Amino acid sequence: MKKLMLSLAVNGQVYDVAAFPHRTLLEVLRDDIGLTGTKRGCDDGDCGACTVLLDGLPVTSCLVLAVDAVEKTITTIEGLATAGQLHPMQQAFIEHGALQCGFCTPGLIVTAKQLLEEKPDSSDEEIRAGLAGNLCRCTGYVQILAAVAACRDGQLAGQTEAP
Amino acid sequence: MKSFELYDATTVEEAVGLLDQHGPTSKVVAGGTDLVTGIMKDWVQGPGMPYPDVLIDLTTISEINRIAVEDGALRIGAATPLADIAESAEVQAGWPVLSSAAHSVASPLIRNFGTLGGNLNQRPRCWFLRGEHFPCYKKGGDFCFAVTGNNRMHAIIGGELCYIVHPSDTAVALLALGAATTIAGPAGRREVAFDEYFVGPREDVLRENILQHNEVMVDVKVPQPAAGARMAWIKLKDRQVYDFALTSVAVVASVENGVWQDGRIVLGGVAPTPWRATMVEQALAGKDVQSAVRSASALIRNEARPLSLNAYKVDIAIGLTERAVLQAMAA
Amino acid sequence: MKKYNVVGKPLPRVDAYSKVTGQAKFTVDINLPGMLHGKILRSPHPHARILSIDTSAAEKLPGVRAIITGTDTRDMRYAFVDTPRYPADQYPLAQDKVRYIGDEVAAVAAVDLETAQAAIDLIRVEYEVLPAVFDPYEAMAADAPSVHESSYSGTSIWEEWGAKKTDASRADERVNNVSGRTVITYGDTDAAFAAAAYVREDRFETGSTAHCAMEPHAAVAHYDPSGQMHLWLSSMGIYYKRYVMSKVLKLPTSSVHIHKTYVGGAFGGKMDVYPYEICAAILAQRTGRPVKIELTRPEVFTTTRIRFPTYIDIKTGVAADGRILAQHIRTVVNNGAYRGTGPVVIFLFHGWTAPVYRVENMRYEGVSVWTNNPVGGPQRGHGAPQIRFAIDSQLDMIAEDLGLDPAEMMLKNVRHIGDVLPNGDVLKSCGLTDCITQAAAATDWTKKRGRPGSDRRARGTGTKRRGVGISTTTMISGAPYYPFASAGVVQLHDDGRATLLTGVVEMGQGAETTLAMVAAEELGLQLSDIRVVSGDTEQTPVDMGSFLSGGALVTGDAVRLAAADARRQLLQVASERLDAQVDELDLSNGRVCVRDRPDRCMSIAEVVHYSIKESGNPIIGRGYRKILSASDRYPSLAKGTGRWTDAYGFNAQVAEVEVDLETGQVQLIRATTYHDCGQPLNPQIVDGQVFGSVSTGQGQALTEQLVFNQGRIVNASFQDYRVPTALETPISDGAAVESFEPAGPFGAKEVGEGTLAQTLGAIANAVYDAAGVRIRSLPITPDKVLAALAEQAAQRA
Repeated sequence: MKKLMLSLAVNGQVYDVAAFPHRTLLEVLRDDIGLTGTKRGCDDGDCGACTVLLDGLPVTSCLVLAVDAVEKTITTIEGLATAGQLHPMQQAFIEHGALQCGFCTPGLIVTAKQLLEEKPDSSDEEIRAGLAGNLCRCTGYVQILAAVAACRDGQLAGQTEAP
Repeated sequence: MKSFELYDATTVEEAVGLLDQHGPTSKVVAGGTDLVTGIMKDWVQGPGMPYPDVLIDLTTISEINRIAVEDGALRIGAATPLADIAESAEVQAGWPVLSSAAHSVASPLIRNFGTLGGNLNQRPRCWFLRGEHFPCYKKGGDFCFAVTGNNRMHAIIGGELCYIVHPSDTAVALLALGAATTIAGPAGRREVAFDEYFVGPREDVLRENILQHNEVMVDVKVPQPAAGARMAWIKLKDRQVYDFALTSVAVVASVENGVWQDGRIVLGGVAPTPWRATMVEQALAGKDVQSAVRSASALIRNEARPLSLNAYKVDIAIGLTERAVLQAMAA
Repeated sequence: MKKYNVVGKPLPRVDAYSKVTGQAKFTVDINLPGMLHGKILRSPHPHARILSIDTSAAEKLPGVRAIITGTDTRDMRYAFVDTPRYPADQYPLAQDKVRYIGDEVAAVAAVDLETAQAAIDLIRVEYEVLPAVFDPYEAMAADAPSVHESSYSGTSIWEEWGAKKTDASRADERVNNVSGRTVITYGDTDAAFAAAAYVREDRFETGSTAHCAMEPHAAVAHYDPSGQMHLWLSSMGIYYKRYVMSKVLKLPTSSVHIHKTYVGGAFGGKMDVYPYEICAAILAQRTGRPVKIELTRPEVFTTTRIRFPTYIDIKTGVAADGRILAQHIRTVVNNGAYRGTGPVVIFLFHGWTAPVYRVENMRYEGVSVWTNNPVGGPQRGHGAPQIRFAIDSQLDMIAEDLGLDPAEMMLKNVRHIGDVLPNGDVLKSCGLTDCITQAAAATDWTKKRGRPGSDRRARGTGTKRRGVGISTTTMISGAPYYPFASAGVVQLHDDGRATLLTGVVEMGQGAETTLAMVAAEELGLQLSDIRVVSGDTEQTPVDMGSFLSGGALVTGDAVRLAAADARRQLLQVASERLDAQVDELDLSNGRVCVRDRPDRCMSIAEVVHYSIKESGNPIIGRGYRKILSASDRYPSLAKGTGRWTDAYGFNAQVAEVEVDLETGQVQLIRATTYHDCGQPLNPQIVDGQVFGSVSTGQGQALTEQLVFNQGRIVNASFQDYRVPTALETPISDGAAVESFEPAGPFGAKEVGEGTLAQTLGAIANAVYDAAGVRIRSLPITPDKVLAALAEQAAQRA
C-alpha cells in the first residue's frame, strides 16, 4: 500500500496531496489541506455536515474517496465569501438567525446555495426537499427555511462585516 | 477505514479481469455510498462476509454512466447516479415508477453520487447485520438475531433463516417494469431478467442476488411499457428522508374500462427480495379493479409470517397495495 | 412592557459571521503540532469481570506512544453525583468489572488514528462474563445480579462543598441495585383520595432517546512542562469540568486551563466529565505531547448518556369540577450501569410537577435502578419530557371522563404569581394562564377540539384524521451546583466600546449574543460596541455553566451587574469632568450628558480616555450572582425539601396532528407554543430555542427511540435513529406572553430547555383526539397506533 499523489482543485486553488487510497475527501480537506469548515458529523453519510460541492453538486464528502475527487472542482464553505463579501446565502443565515451551534451550518449553506443556483425560483416545498439531507438538531429548521426563502426572494437587509 | 488497494478500471472487461485476479475479497466501487460507509468503515465482516482489501473503481468507465432510449426501451448504465435517473425527462415520461423510486432513495446528497448499480446491489440494512457484534447467518454465523431481538423493521414474507428486507427501491420498480440487466463476467456478457436476479435466504443466505464475485453489472434494460400502461410508486417510511422503505409498492398495469388486463405488483420492505404479489395480480386479472382491489390485496395476509413485533407491517402492506393500485388507476 | 434600547430586539448573533464562513473553531477543529490521536478500548460485554489485560503486543506496534488501563486510574473515582448518600461510582477506566457495553477499559495514544485503532485491536482482555440485567424491575429482584458491589466509602465532593456527612451505608440503597430513591410527601393524600369525586390510575412508559448534537464529543489535551494542563473540550460548563479534571488529575484547579472552543450542540450530553476526556489528559501527561480523542458517532450514541427510560404510575383524585385534589406518583428509572444523574432525575420528576398544577396532597416516590444498560443522564428537559407526557396524558383522560375541556381543566389547576411551592420557591412571575388561553385562542381550540363525545368521523376523509392536544410544562432558571455562581467583567475602551468577559460556553444557545445585549443595554451602547470573550478558564470569570438553564437569569444578571459597575464608575468620572452630580447624568447612545443640557456632554470614549489619563482607572466593571439568591440550603434529592431556583419558565403548547388510520403514521402539522420566559432578551434567539425544542420533541414523540439488544444499542446511527429532517418541519408558531421576572436581568428568565417537554404530551393528546386511541408509551410509532386501532375495532365489534 502506498500513498497516491492527488491534485485537488478546492475553492479555485489546486493542492497536491499525498494520501492513501482509503482516505475520504472529508479527511483530506480537514486533515491535509486544513479546511476545517467542513464538518464530520457522523462519517456515515447520514447527516450532511460534511457537504461540499463536487463539480457543482452537493455530496457528503465523508463517503467520497479523495481519489474520486481528482480532476473535479471542489467548493467548501471557505470558498463562498469572495473578497470579504459574504455570499447572499451566508448573509441570509445571519439575518434570519438560521444557525445556533453552527456545526451543521457550513453543510447547509453549501447545499442551499447550490439549490438556488440550480433552480432560483425553487418553491418552499422544493427548498424543504432540497435541504432534507442536512440534519440540524438546534434550529428545528424553521429559521433556516425562512433564510433560504429570503435569499431566493432577494430580501436581504445588507452586508454583515467581519467582526 | 482499513486500508485497501485501489485500481481504476477503464473498461468493464478490465474490471472483470481485476476481480477475477484478486478473488472474493475484491469489490467494485462506484458511488461508494454503501460500500464505503456500510462495509469499509463499519468493518462488518465474518467468515461469510470477508473484508474487502481490493477495490476497483468503476467511475472511470464511461460506458456504464448513461441513460439512453433505444428502440423504445430504456437503457441505464449501472454507474449512473440516482439523481440523474430521477431527473431524466425521458424516464419521467416513459417510466415514472422508476424515476419516483430513484427519487425516494436516501437523501438528495446521496442521490447525487449513489448509483443505480449500487442501489440494486447494496447489502441489506438489517441493524444486526450492520452491527459488528452480531455474527448472523449472512456473516457466516448460525443465528438470526431478528428472531429474538427487535424485528420491527424486518421481513414479514419469505423470511427463513434470515429475516432481512431487501433494501433497494429501484429494484422494486424494475421488477414491476419487467426489466433485465446485463452482467459481464470472465466468459463474456449475459442478460438476466430481474425475475431471475434476486436470491432469497433459503437459496443462499450469504447473498441477495446471483452476481458472482468476478462479475460486474453493466446496465439495466427496461422494456417499453404497453400502450396506456398505468404506473404507481408508494414508499412508506418513518421519516421522509434517509429511511429505507418500511413498505413500498410499485404497480405497472394495463387496464381497460376499469378492468385489469395485465400487470405487476411488487412490494419492497417486506421480504428478503423484492416481492411480487402474484396472488394479488391473479385475483385482479379480468376484474373490475375498483371493486376487486380490496379483497385482492387482502390475499397478502395468507402469505405473511410476521415476527414478534412486525405484524403491523402486514396491515400496512395490504393497505398500501390497495392504495398503490388505485393510484395507478388514477394516473 | 418596559422599553429597552437593545434588549428585546431581534439582533443578529455575534457568533454568526464566524459560523457562516466556516471559521468558527470547534474542539474537533483543534490541531496542535506533534499531536497524537487517542482511541478507547471498550467493553463488548454488558457485565463481566476483568481477569487480565495484556497490552504487550499493542505496545510493540510502531507509532504507539502510550497505553493506559484501569490500574492507571485506580485513585480517580468520580461522578457528577457525588454526595454522602450517593458516593461516586465510576472510574475513567474500568477497575474490577465492566458494567455495560461501551464501558472504558483501556486507552491508547499513537501517531495517527489508524495506528491507535490497530493498537486497540491488539490489546487482549480476558473476561469472565457475568450474568447481566437490563430491566429495572428484574434488577430489583433479590436474586438479580449486582451491578455494583462496593460501597465506595470516602469523602464526596459535596462534603467539600459544605454538605453534611451522612451515613452512606443505608441498607435500602445498598441492595437490589437501587441507585437512588426520592420520597416527597405533603398534605394528606389518603383523606384527599377518599374525598375525591373521581380517581383514576394509569401507567405510562417512555423509551430512551439520544441528544444527537451534531458535533461528536472530542477532547484535546496538552500538558506543558511547567505543570499546566491545557484542555479543549466539548462542554456545557468549563468551571465544572475544570474542577473535576483537577480533582481526578490531582492538580490545583488553576493548573487546569480549559481553552475556548465553540461547542456544536450539547442538549445535556456534554455536561458530564467523560472517561475519554480524562484519558486524553493522562495520555498527554504520559507522552508530553498533545493528544486528541474524537468519539465516533456510534460511541457518542452509546457512551455519552441517554435519556432515562422511565415507568410512571399516576393515581389522581379530582373534584367533580376538575380540580386536582391528590396525586400519588411512582416512577422507576432505568439508570444504566452508573448513576449518571439518576438520583437527580427522580427528584426532578417531582420538580417539574409542583410548579405547574397546584396539588395540595402529594405522595411522590421515585426509584432509580442500576442495570447493565448504557448510562442515563441529563437531556434537554431532564425528566420533564417523561413526567409532563404522563401527567398531561392522564389529565386529558380525566377531562374526557368528566366531560371537561382539558384546557379548561388545566386553567382550574395552574399556578399563579405569588404561589409558594412546597419547597419554599416563590413564583414572582408565572404566565401559565396566559400561555394556555393564548395557545387555545391562536389555534381555535374550542372549535377544533370539539366537546367530549363529539363524532371523530367528521375529522377527515379517507384514511386521514386530524386532532389537537394541549400540554404544559415548566423549567428552572438555574439551580445550585458547582461553582454555585456566575460572574462577569466589563472593560471599557478609550474608543467608547467595551469588552465583556464571561465564562459561559457558547454551544448554540446564543449566550454570547444575549449577554452582550444585556451589557450594551446597561451601558447605553449598541450590540456592535460589545466584544465578547467567553468560555476560557484563564481569561474569563467563574460561570455556573449552561446546564441548569440559568444562563439568562444568573449569568445574565452577573453581566448586568458588571456593566452596572462599569457604568457607575463611568458616571463618577464624568460627574467630576462635567461638574455635575451623578444623579443628574444620563447615559445613552454612547454619551454621558447632564440632564436637559445637551451642551454638557462627553462621549464614553472621552470619559474613559480622561479617566485613564487622570487617575489611571481604566474602568473595569465586575459583577457576580449567586445561583440561589436568598437561601443557603441545598435542596435534598431524597426528600425534595429546600429551595432550588429563583424563577421558573412556563410553556403551553397546542399540537395539531394528522393520523393515517391505515398506516398508523402520525404527522405533526402544527405546534403552537406560548411561553413565559419573562422579558425575551433577543426574540429571534428565543424563537430559535422554541423551534428547536419543538423539533426535538416531535422526534422524541414520534420517531426517535434507541433500540436495545441485551444491553447493546443496535441503532446507534443517524440512519436508524431518526431525528426529524427539514421535510418533517411543522408549522411552528406562537409567542412569548407578557411577563417580567423581578429576579432576572431586565425581567428575563429561562427559555428553551423546558419547551421540549410539552410537545410530547400535546402530540399524544392530539393523537387521541384524532384517532380515539390512547398511546401510553413513547414514541408513538405506527405499530402502536395500528395495534390500538385494532383493539378499538375489536371492542366496538
